[in-house]
Amino acid sequence: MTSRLSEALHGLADGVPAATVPEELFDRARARHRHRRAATAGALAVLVLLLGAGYALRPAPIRWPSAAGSTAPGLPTRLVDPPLRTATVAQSAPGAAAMLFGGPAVRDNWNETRMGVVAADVDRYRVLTPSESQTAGFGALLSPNGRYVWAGGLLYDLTSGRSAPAGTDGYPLAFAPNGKRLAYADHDTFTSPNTYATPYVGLYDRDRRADVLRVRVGTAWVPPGQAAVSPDGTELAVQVRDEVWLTRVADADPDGTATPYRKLPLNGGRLPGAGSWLPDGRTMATLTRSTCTDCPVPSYPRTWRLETRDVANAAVVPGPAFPDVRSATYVHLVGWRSADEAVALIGVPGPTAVDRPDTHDIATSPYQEHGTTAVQLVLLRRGATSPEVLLRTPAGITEMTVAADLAIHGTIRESGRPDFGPPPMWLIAAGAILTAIAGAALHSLLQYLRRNRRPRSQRP
Amino acid sequence: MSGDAARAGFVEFVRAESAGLTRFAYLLTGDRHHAEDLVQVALARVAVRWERLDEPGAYVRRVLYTQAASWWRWRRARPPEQLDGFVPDRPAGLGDDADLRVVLQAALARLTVRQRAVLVLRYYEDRTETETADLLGCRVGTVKSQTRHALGRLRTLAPELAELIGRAPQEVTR
Repeated sequence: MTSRLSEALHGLADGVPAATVPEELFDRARARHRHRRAATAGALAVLVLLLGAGYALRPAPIRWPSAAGSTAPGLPTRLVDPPLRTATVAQSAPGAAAMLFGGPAVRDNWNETRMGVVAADVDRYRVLTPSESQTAGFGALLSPNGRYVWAGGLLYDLTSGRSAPAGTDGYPLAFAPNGKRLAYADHDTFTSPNTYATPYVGLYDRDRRADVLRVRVGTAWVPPGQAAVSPDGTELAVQVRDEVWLTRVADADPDGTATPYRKLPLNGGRLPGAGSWLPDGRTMATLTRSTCTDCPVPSYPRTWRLETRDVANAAVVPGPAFPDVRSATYVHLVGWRSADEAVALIGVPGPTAVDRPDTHDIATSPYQEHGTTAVQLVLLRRGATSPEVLLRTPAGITEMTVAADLAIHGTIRESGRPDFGPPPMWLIAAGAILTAIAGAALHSLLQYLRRNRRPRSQRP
Repeated sequence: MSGDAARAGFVEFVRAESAGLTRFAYLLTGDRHHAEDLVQVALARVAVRWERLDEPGAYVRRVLYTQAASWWRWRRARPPEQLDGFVPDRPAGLGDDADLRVVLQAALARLTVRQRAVLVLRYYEDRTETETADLLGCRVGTVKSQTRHALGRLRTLAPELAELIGRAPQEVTR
């Protein structure tokens, strides 16, 4: 029975001709095997090199200098554009920062959200890349002590490199001077064709992890930079159209909402940012707007003058005038050294900047305006004829905010050699690929030389 | 063993075995070109290990079996199937050897590679169950069960091959 199956299988297969086996199969198979073994060994060597290099260059926690050898924190006298290889905050934490900055020199088409951070103690530069593009000083804020960056709904801890949700739902307006409370605006609502509105402005307490105050704004739009928290963190000032609304945490209903206890008229002026409250907590700074005739930038005649008002009766505090800030796209107060000296950031317009009237919420400052080419840190002193420029950003860095504690105390240190941190992974990978290519080229060259050195009669 | 001696031994082995290996591969795959590829690949492996092989014939058959069983080769060699609603006509009986070959080849193609390998080694190369188990790297019991399953499946797939492979075992009542 099975012999029939054997016969049938032979009948099926016996007619099949033998496979053609090349005469050089033996040598060719062995040569291919040798090449594969060499390639595998090379790949393993590259892998080991890569792993070794990656281990050696892994982001390591920074060893902070000891107290005796540490550099005193301060604002650096010079700011540089961080190169592409600069490490991120997550890879290598810079420590408490002196400045957060951005602009065309920091961003490019591939890194649209990139911002730079420089540490307070030494020139340790790192970069931040939030998920959405933010303007340093407006949508991205540095806490007064320089430890945190608040951007895109996240708080980046610059001493650890970690980030966590800020706890607020909206965009940043201001840090409280002690950094414990965050003023924010709820997400805009849009009504066609061009009307934006902020439902409410909130004050979030980081210790309680809850809002301690909410102010219903109504139909106005509150852009970044138009709020300030009082020095003790219990009052909130918000510019709503042409008024400053003052609200107390103590007045809040059980649901957290409160109505303003006072509204200061601005008469076309501005609330000058997070540092608007004077240290006494009873006086508030406002800006009046006018035009100059002998402006530094003739095409941009917008001029700002600082005034201080008593929040009890909105009366202007008497005294010598602050100097006019001429041709400035915006003025942001960082804080006060005394009742007569304010530290501010001002936007310097370029030739393309246009001085537009405040007739439309969206088109107005203090949102960083198109055409701002630099930011200056200035000291505004009563009785002075002009602002004292403390620092100016270099070309290409058009957005900046500073750690208020350092700026207020005027702590400025000499810039040193910049440190851009450990190389990023893409740079290590590119180096490894180049090394591998060079190794392969060298291997090919050696093989070529070896082949040519062998007598022709012995070549395969 | 010097290189020249190894090369000469390998050439002699190829000369002696290539025909049988090709037929073995053909019965495993059912395709002449695929069988030729398999034989060349298997012989290349033998060439690399020639000095270390005690039984190159057994080794090369093992390689042929594993390569035929490997998924990607199976996938690459398998012709695309097109299904339609018609059941192909079967010859009522096996009129001649050509009909027998066609039916047997179609039925073998429906077996697993292991079942085909067992049948080929047992009934084409007349290997014992022990030798087959050694060649395939499995137990003798596995060879027995695979043989039984293969024959049973052939009976199911092609009843007209009954005279080749015998009737199904009958139940015995005690």
